[in-house]
Amino acid sequence: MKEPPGWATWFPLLVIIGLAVVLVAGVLVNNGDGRVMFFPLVTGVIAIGFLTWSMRHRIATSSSGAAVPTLLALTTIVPAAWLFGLPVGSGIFVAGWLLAATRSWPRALLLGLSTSLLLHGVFSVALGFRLGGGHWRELLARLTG
Amino acid sequence: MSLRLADALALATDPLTLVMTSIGILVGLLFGLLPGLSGLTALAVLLPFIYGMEPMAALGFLLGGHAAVCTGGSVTAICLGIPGAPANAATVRDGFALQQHGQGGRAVGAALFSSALGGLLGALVLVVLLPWLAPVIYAFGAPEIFLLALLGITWAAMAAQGSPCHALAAAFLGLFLSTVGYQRITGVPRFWFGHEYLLDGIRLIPLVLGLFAVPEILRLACMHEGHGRAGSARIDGRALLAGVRDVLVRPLLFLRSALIGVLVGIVPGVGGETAPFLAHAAARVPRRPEGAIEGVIAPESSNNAKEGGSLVPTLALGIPGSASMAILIGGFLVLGLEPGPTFLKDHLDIAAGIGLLLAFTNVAAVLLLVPLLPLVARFSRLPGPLLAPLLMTLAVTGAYLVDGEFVDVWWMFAFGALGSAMVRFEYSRPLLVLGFVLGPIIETYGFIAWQAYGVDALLRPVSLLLLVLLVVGLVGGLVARSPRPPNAGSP
Repeated sequence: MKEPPGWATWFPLLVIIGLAVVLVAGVLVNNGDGRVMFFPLVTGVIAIGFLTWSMRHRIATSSSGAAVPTLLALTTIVPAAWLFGLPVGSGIFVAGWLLAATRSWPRALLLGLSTSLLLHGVFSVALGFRLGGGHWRELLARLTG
Repeated sequence: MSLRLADALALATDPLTLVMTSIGILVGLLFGLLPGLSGLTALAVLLPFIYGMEPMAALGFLLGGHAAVCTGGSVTAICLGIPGAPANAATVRDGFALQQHGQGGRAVGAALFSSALGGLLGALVLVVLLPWLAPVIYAFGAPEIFLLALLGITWAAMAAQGSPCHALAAAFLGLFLSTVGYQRITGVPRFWFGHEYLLDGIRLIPLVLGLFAVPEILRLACMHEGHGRAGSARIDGRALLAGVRDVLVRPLLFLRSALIGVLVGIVPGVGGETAPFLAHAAARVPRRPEGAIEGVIAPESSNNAKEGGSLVPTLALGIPGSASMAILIGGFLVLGLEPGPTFLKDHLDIAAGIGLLLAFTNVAAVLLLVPLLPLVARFSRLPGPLLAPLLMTLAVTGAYLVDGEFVDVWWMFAFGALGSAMVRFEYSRPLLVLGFVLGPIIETYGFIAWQAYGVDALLRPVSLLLLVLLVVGLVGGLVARSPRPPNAGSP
């Protein structure tokens, strides 16, 4: 009896469909300009070819039911950071995650708080560098002679 | 163009550079000690933090983080029997067997000393080779660079684990993704569909973080216990010195393994995990239940030496010697530097300084690790669910720092989903990044070669040689790895 297609087949198939749609839409938008579209067309078509070929090889994969909910849980950092700002949001996320994982309030609060503080520090340093010559760069230069 | 070693030395020994390199080394050791987190993940996490840094300090930070991973990973491989980084996989068999028979300290001593020496040799080859390479590189025109980049991606696909078909699919997907945004030559935007964010193309940092960091974090979060499978080794100074002596009395084994590492590293695109296994095979290590010290020295000498080799095509041609080097090239671009022949001409001092920093990294990593050895086993057993949220926070921060916009975080998660699927269905993520980094080089130089020479671009002597190597690599790889038909006589 023929087996129904598994995710080993669906994954490349979805990528192929996505790639094909993007490729056709891109060619239409650029009116098929050969100078601009030649390279993406060649690479896109070859990628589609290899993906199609790879679908012939079914891979025996074990199911890991925990992966999807965990991925979803880990993405909760995005709304948390969006709502409260990255340092505070990340602290809330870390605290919440650890509370769920360890059921220990003190550990969750301590790590959540330290993450927030650490991120404030990292942000100050990183943004100081990025803004070009902030006080942090000066301080570091002084510290390192 | 001449190399003044004093200039390079001054650049490499700048206090800020040394401080940032040491911070990178500590992060790299941390990633090496945590099983499963590779140098690629370390580079992915470190990359966003280099904005605005001095170029040498930033490059030292990245290089320190990347090169120290193998050193840290060797200790995990020996003490716990789990490779700290994929490049340490070849060390596990003999290293862990030695540890189980009470020789763990000796194995760690041999691993650390051969790693440091191998790394020094790799760095030496890099510094010596770069000035000599320059005239050769100037003989390379657009057709040769185009073909060399194509050769790198093809050979890398053939050297990747698993199906070559999957590897090539990933590589070409990477090449395709690199075409999003303004084309370099005509300035015409492609595949942006009205989203201004995409006009500048897909950003390397969210792509790399998504492909490498997110799936690893997910894996850590799903783990229910620590990584270790056996007790820790007792490591004391005397045992470490015995390991050092083991390396010193086997100079030929060390030299051969380190040179294999350097040579494999120089081949564009290959590098990575291939070198330690080749060195292990070349050493013809006897299979003993109690383990053989040669089985530690050979892979560890080569996996640090390969970094020097990988930097040769990366710096000289702008063609990454390995997937990690593809991310390092991203770091160069972030800093406003473009590796390749022009870089070598204008910044030979920086290139040589990078070689010296690599030497410093390899020695400093060992010196920083030795005092931490008693804590290693405990540290390596930190439960995954505890580490996952902290690493996720770091990854989100890294993605956000690219442009200070949340859209990069969303892209990171999108590529995270793609990366997780690629892991599960065995498509090579490093090859996607390699394709993504090499895409603009292949397109730009291919376009120039076609405009300037037409079909004759492929008929120049060096082009012909590269074309032959490309076809031989592709056909040879596919034939060698095609499934054998079952014997007619077998039941």
